[in-house]
Order: sequence, then structure tokens, then C-alpha cells
Amino acid sequence: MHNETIHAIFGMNPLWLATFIFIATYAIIISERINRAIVALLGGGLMILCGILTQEAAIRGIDFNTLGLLIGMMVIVSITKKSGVFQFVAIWIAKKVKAHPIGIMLMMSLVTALFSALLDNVTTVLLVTPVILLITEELKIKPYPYLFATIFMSNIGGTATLIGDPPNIMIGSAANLSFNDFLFHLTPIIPLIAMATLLPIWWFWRKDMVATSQDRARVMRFNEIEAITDWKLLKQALLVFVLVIVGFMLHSVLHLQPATIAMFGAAMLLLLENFACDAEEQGKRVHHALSEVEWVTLFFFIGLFIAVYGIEQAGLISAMATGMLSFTGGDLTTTALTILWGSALASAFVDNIPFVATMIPLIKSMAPAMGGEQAIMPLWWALALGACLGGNGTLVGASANLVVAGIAERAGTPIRFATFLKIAFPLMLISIAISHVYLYLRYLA
Amino acid sequence: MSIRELINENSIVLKADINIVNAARQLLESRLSALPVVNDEGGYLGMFCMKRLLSMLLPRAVLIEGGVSDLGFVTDPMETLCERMHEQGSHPIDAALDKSAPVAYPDTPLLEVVLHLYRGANDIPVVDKQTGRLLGVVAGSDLLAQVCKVNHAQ
Repeated sequence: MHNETIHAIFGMNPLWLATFIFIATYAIIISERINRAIVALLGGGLMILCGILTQEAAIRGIDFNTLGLLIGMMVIVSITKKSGVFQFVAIWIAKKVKAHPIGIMLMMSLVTALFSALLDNVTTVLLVTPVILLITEELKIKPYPYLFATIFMSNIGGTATLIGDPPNIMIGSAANLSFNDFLFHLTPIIPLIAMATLLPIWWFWRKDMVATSQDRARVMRFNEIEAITDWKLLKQALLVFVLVIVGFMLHSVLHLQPATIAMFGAAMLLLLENFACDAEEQGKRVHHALSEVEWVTLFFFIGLFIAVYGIEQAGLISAMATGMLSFTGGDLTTTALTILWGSALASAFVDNIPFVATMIPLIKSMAPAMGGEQAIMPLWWALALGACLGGNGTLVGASANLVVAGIAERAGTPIRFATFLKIAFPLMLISIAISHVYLYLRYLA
Repeated sequence: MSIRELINENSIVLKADINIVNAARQLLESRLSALPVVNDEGGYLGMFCMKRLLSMLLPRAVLIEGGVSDLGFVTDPMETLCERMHEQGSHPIDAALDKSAPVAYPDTPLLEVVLHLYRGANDIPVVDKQTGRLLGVVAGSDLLAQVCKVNHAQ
């Protein structure tokens, strides 16, 4: 950490000024009246203009590893999805279970969780939801259990890996945790949480998940091979995708950051896709692939990293850490479980990205008092589980939830906030209770 | 020349109280791609288009923004298409109206009408700005025929 003497504007107290800017930024983000990227960039900018951070310090505050990993994966997915592979998988599994509505729900949930663990959640639901709507329409059944399962499974699957959900990417980068660390510490509990979530959904909607043999035959007539629109691209994309995943698994051996691997994979796929094209076509394709990157999210991250670095430099984070330590008495178990439940409840109502961005330096600054970096490992897993799974609590808890709700609304099957809350919040609490037991038995007992 | 001289005041007009199946029948008999729909007072309500009729044959999942992008893998037979049309056919025409179809007024510049036609509309309804009454329709074919006639005369 580079602590520098802060010369706040008009001789104001830097701690109060930084706190005010940060709370105002947070409040406006939560109000959703102004686009979150604009607010975060203004908050970060104010930290510099008010003298809390120098421009050099602001750059140091940005976690380029998180940004690089997100950009790389977004480019890879934007090219891969053109091949139609995701549609192919969805149809293929629907046919594997003979188009039985319950089988489809189980298999679609599995696919969503798997995609979500390897891609980001929003991309996953953007790919899966339209196919679910198509299949349920053909089966003439209510799409709600499938839409709810898609939301839950995207957040649950995303919790399993380093690259599955932005909070994990941020935590992994800040705490130097590898892809394999996430596989070893978080993935094992995910199947149990998934089952505990799917069971009540099945129970609640079991009477609606019935289709006639005639309607099932219609789905069985789908020709999944026709869903693949570009075989050459599919092979190229799968090759790069496998290499990137292997790279993630070996990144500590290779001494490469996940961002480097993802960005290199993206560049490789761009090269393979454009190799045989003329300059004009290359320009078009590269422009299209890069325009699919979610720049709003990335600029939101940039502003947020600067704003959080501002409060860190001003001393707010260490004050919060002291407060947290006195609340928990420095006890690892109490601290971990407080972080787990606190993150879950907070993430159910506010964006988990700013929450995690604030918690990371807070947890880091508690390390010396709690026995060092190795000793606080359970705190990172508590934060990851709480922040990612908490997103299932309400319709606004995670971006993927809103994306599914948006598509469903356009298709004439709106998901209401209160209806979702009634089903989702208890299920979220169940998932956190399971995580509580898991963390306690594995790390804290 | 203004668009007033191109308005066909005798074009077929649909009434708001008929259902989709009957409206579709009239549209197909007219051999046009869209017909204007008016209320009892002659006020313009929207266009009933072939494109909207075709959309009823498709699964909703492809019609929405961000929906399924192609249907090469779906092998629904003619019976399924008939079923879909049948499900919606008895609904009032209001549910199938294109209310955002481009509209012209008697003083709309000619080139603006050409632009709407170029962008995909085959016929443009012309509406009285004050009363909202339908005055008639400008057909793309009539406009082009007029251009060719003038050109030939010159």
C-alpha cells in the first residue's frame, strides 16, 4: 500500500471528505436514478479533484487484473456464441431427457450452472433464457419455474469458480487466489446448494410441469445440429476456450495472471476468426467482437476502484476494520459468519460489486490482527459465498436476475418483484445456511 | 407536386370492431401488404400489416429483443402454424395493430414519404393533423408510377 500525505481541498479533513464522497456515490448507485458507470466515474473523479488521491494513486487503485479478465472472457464469449453452440447444448439436453418438463428443468439448471461457472452470469442467462422460452412455448407449459431456476442457477454456478462472477474475480485478484483455489474451496458445496434450491422449485410448480406427448414430440423434432451456424468457428472457439481454462488451472505454475491468459485467449480467437478475411471484413468483425464487451460494467469498475482506494487512503477502511474487529472480538468464526450473512443480506438489495470492492480492503486490513493472510482465508470464502449467493434474494440482487426478468417481460411473462421475493428470499437464506455449516465445519470448527 | 395529389381516397379501410381472422381475410383479398384501421368516426388507429400476421405464426421467443436468433433447428409443421393463428384469430384487431407505422400529413414533404417507403412501408396512411381522420393512403407503386410518368413526359 502506498500511503501518501493527503492534501484535501480547502484544508478539509480528508477522512470526512472521502467518506462523504463515497457515501454519496453509493447512495446514488443504489437509487438507480443515474447510470451506475457515470456515478462511479464521478465518485472516483471527485476523489482526485478533492485532493484525496493523486492521479498516480488513482491509477494504482484500479485492479487491471479484474478488468483484463472480464474483457478477455467477454470477447471470447461474444465470438463463441456466434457459432450457435449454446443453443445446440440447450436443445441437445432437452432431447436427452425426452423433452420431459421436469427433466428439462433439471438439465437446464445443470447447464446454466455449468455455463455460469465458466462464463459470466449475464452472458449465460442471455444465452439460455430465450431457448427456455422457446421450449416452454412449444411444450405449452408455464415458463416461470424454468426462469426462476435459470436465475438461481446462474448465481449459484457463478459462485463456484474464479471466473464465474465478478465478486470472485475481484476477490481472487486482490487476495491472490488461484482458479484452483476456488475449485478446491468453493466448488464442492455448490451441488448441495443447487439441489437445495431446485427441490423447492420443483415442489412448488410440480403440477404445472406437465406436457402432452404431442407437445413433447414437437420438441423432440428439433434438429440441434441445425443450431450450429458455423462449425469452423465452433472448433476454433472450443480450442481456445479449453486452452484458456487449462491456462487458468495452471496460472500459478505459469506465473501468469488470469487476465493475461484471458486476454491472450481473446487475441488468439480474434486471430483465428479473422485469419482468412480481407482487411475490411477483419475491421468489421473485430469491431463487432469488441463492441460486445460490456463497457458500462468496466467503467463502473474503474470508477469504483478509484473511489474505494480513496476511502482506503483516507483511513476509512482501517477505521471500519478496527470497528469490525472490536464487534467480533477478533474471533475468526464470528468474523467469517458475520461477513457471510452480512454480505448475503447486503447483496440481496444492493449491487454486490461495490459491496465487495469495499469489503476487500476491509478484510485485508484485518489480516495482521487475525494472524496473517493465511489465517483469514475463510473470510474470503465467506465473502464470495455471501456476495454471490445473496444476489438470489431479490429481483434486483444481481444483474442476471434483471436480465432474465427483462426478457421474460418482453415475452409476455413478467416476473414481479414481490412474487420473486416470496420464493427467492427463503431459498437464498437456505443457501446461506448451508454455506454457514460448510464454512464452520471445514474451516472454523 | 405534393402528396395530396397522390392520396388514394378510395383505399380499403378496416373497422376497429372486426377480429383478426376477418381482417386477415380482407387484407389477403386486397392483395396489399397493409390496410389502415379506423374507428367509427373515421379516426386513424393504426395499420394492420402482413408482417404482423406473419409474426403470429412464430414462437414469441424469436420476436422479442434478445430472443432466439434463428429457427433452423425447429421443424414445426403447418398444423402448428395453423394452431398458432387459430389461438389468436378471434382476438380483436386492436391486439394486432401496428400503431407505430409511419404516418404522413397533407403537408408532409414528398421526400419524407419516399424515405418511409424506402425504409419498408408499402403504403403510407395520410391523416388530417387537426382531427386525426384518415384521408387516404399513398401507395409506393402510385408514387413511383407518377415519377416515371413525369420523367417520360419530359
